[in-house]
Amino acid sequence: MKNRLFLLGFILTGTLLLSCNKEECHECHYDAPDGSEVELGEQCGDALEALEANGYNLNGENYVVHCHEH
Amino acid sequence: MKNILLMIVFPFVVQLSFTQEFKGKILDYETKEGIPFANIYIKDIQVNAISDSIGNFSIDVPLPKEINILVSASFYESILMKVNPSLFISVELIKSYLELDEVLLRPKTGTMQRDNIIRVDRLLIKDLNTIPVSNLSEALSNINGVQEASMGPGISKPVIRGMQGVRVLSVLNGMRLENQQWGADHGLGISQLGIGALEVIKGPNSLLYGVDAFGGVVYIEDEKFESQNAYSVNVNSKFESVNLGYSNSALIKLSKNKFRFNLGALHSSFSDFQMPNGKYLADSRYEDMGVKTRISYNTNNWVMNMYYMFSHSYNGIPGHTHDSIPNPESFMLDFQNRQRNIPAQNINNHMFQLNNKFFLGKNNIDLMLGYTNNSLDEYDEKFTIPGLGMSLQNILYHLRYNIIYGSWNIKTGIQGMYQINKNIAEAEEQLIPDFNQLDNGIYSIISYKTNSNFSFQFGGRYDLRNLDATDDFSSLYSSPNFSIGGKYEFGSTNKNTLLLNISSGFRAPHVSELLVNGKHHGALRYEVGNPNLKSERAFQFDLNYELNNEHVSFVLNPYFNYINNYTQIVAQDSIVENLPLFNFEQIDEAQLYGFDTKIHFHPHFAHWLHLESSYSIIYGESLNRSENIALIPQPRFNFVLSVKFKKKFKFNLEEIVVQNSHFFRQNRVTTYETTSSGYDLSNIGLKFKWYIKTPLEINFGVKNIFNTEYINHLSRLKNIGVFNPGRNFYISINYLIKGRMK
Repeated sequence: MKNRLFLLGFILTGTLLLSCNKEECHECHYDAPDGSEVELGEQCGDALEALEANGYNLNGENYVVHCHEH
Repeated sequence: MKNILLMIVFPFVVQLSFTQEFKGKILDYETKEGIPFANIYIKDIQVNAISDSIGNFSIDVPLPKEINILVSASFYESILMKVNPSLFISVELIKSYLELDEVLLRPKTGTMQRDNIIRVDRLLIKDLNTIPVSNLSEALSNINGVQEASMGPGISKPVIRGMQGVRVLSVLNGMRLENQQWGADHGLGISQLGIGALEVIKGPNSLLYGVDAFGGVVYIEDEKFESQNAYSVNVNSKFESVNLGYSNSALIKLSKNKFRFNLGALHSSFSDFQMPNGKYLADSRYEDMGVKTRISYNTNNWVMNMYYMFSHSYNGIPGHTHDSIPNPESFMLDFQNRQRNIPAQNINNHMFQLNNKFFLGKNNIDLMLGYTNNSLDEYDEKFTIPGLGMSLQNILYHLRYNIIYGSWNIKTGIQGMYQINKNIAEAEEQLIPDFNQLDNGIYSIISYKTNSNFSFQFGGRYDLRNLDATDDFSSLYSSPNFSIGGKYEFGSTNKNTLLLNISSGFRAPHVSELLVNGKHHGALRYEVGNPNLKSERAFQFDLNYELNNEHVSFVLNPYFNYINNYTQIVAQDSIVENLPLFNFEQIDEAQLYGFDTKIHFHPHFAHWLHLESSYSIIYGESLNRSENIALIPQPRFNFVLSVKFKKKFKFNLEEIVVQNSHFFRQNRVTTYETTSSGYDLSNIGLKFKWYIKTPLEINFGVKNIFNTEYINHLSRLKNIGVFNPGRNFYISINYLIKGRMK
């Protein structure tokens, strides 16, 4: 009985741990004036949040950043 | 007289008069031999015991002076009876070949299924193991008259007689579920973890369930506790090919003397599903995780049940587009992915509930207190900044006094909910405003069972809803409601039952119908509310005829539902911010009518064979506009063949199930709807059992075996021309360990 409960505890813990999210990372880009997509590479955590909130600034020009796959 | 033939009780005075042990023996009426593995369930405290190999049982917990027990065994007619637990009882059961629908006990009222005056359809989740379901809405669609409206397996809700969303009330273990179900893209919000049974009451039932029990009620019941002084551990693992989906769950049950405990956990993950054309539907991926616990404790005059559940879901929202005329090809991918993407919903639910029952002689008092917290964030364009975000909190109570006086049963109660909805500051937009809502209702239901074959029930209720929203919107809605029902049984070899119910329903407009204004990406439309909406009122006539004999069961259930101030969301001929514009409007008079019918052939001479066919059809019409109502389900014909096999081998084939659902063409559409083609969906499943020291159950099979291309009329993706899932191979393993507690 004890061994079975330990096994179950292991399974339950493993189930929950497997489901915990690691830091989210996504490929991001912005749309250049000519309509092409300029890749910004993989962005994670705080950097991802900052890009999505503030956009990408290049030479005084601010571009909206998109990070979802198409 | 019937009860005397069914049950002969021989009371013996217990020698040890100070003991609280409740003992007895279950016997075969004809042979007088003990019946092994009969189930003795004390419904008042939810404790059960299993009889031993010679039919003896004992339950050692504090018990009230009078208890209701349900005694059931395979191939015997079950009994619900009142007994004095200080006496030794003998119960003699009569052999029966009627189907298991008969033996089940309704959790809400404690009555036997067959004694109900209202037609209730009940489904055990374990009965769906051979052909497993993706979610509870799909499970519910196995019930005649119930279908599902979905955006893929991750987002799905039940449709009862053409009604869904805010018109269908969901109740979990007696507590109302509130999780933003108004949204077309918001699913039922509950996983299958620890769920034992589902019940559906079709049509308005405001008398017992209050405001919003308008189109029907879905009652979700957790799994029962383990039998006394026993434990069990159930581990289940499933895999399906259509979305490379896996689901793992574990449930522990412990039961020792006065204390009972269940604990479960679940994690599941599904990629984008594959359509019949081989492509994958973008953003149809989803992930669920959850934990659930339930604790029960009782004394002689009191039983307490405490529940806690946490669930987290991440649901992709398929069909997202900025094109006013979307191309279906733009939603189809050549590759499959499960990584979190946007648009998606991030949903967290906390549910806490405390149920108390106090025994006062023959009578009792029920007190339920509950708290739920739902957070729903929708990420449309950014991963870290929600487009929409809402926090919904509910505080619920229900106090009921149950009086039993001879053949009379009187239930009187008060029930209410305080709801607070707030938009989170970080969200970019608001679709509905912040609001507070207070519901209160008072009711009384009287039932009477005569000595002959007639019983009836009637009752009245008064409800009040107070709604306050930002922007100075405040409104009060109130309504009385009633229900009258009667039941008549006749015949002996062929048991005939006739049920007639006349009931009313009341639904106050939801804040999403009154004050919505903005882009609802998930629902693929721009929505505008109508603050002048009035409450809906419904009157339903429901007639149910059943025939049961040892070979055949037959049900015919016609109904007619007349509704005042029917609210609907109507497409306008405009595009706003690249989304079609929809406004909320009301129809003065509407009617929904139709019938459900079912025949089940289970011959006495071929116990291993079950054949079941069912058919449902519904018509929905606006009387003053002479047009059809939107989103009326397609008529459906279901056929199920089940063959069971005896144990012959160590790795034994136990059952084969073949299902076919034929959905008829839907031509009865409203002006802004398109018709839907008919189609067939076929599934086949096999159940094996590996008889090792602890048997292992293995199910595998194929759903949509012919890879049919279909779009259901209620599919939220119909207007963008996207198919439902294609052929789906699955395998599931169930491992159950049981033992005695020392």
